[in-house]
Amino acid sequence: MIPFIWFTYLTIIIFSLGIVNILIKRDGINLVVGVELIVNAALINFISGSAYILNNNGAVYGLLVLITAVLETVMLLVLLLVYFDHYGSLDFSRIRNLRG
Amino acid sequence: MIDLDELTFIIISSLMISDIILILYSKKLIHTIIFLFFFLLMVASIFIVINSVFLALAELFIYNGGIVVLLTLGASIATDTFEDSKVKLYILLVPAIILLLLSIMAIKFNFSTISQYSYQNLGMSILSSYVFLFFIVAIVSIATALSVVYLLSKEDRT
Repeated sequence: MIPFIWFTYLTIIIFSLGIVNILIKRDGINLVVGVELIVNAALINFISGSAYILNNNGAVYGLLVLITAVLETVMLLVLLLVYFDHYGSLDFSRIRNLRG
Repeated sequence: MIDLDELTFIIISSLMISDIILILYSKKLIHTIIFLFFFLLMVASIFIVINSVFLALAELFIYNGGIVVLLTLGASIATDTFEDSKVKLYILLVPAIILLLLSIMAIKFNFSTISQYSYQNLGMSILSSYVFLFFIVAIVSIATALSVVYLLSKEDRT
């Protein structure tokens, strides 16, 4: 039987690498990919917790996270499309309107 | 002695982490999306290892079938090439601190009472205890669809 703490360590590593991906990449698609990595880390944590803590609350929450992640990705991609229409690029470093 | 479950977990998780490292080092967007596809396959297989086949299928259909295709369409509009990002090294302290704090929390947590569980009555649980949450998710889905239609059909898009 797989120890539960292995899942916890795996999700911690995936979560941290997702944050690294968001921090070091500058284009919008890689931002979405980083968010997907973080969401999948949460998903593995929910579902492994549900499998090991003897009830299915985590599985239901995992399903909800799965559905909500799709909606969030669709909205991010539409915002990227609008951003691309406005700036002609997906490079986020071109956003200078909010600088003081 | 390591048994077959643990060996499977080690192989899948090492493939998963190597996929993420390839995502971090890939220069082209399409390579990033291909590595993301394999990462999501590994996530689905780890769900099968812990006996939750329904969620593995949902992951395959939704992520590998839907989101990867959406990201490919999104990458096809990115015509510009990106330079190597100049990252200040102290920014990487943030994920390092998060990794450290979460590892300490995982070490402190008591895992001794945990035993393995097979999924039963998942549908009953969804339709009895969590109907309200699914109702909220349905409303959010409709709001997302309307927002997408509104954002993409504005007349003053240039």
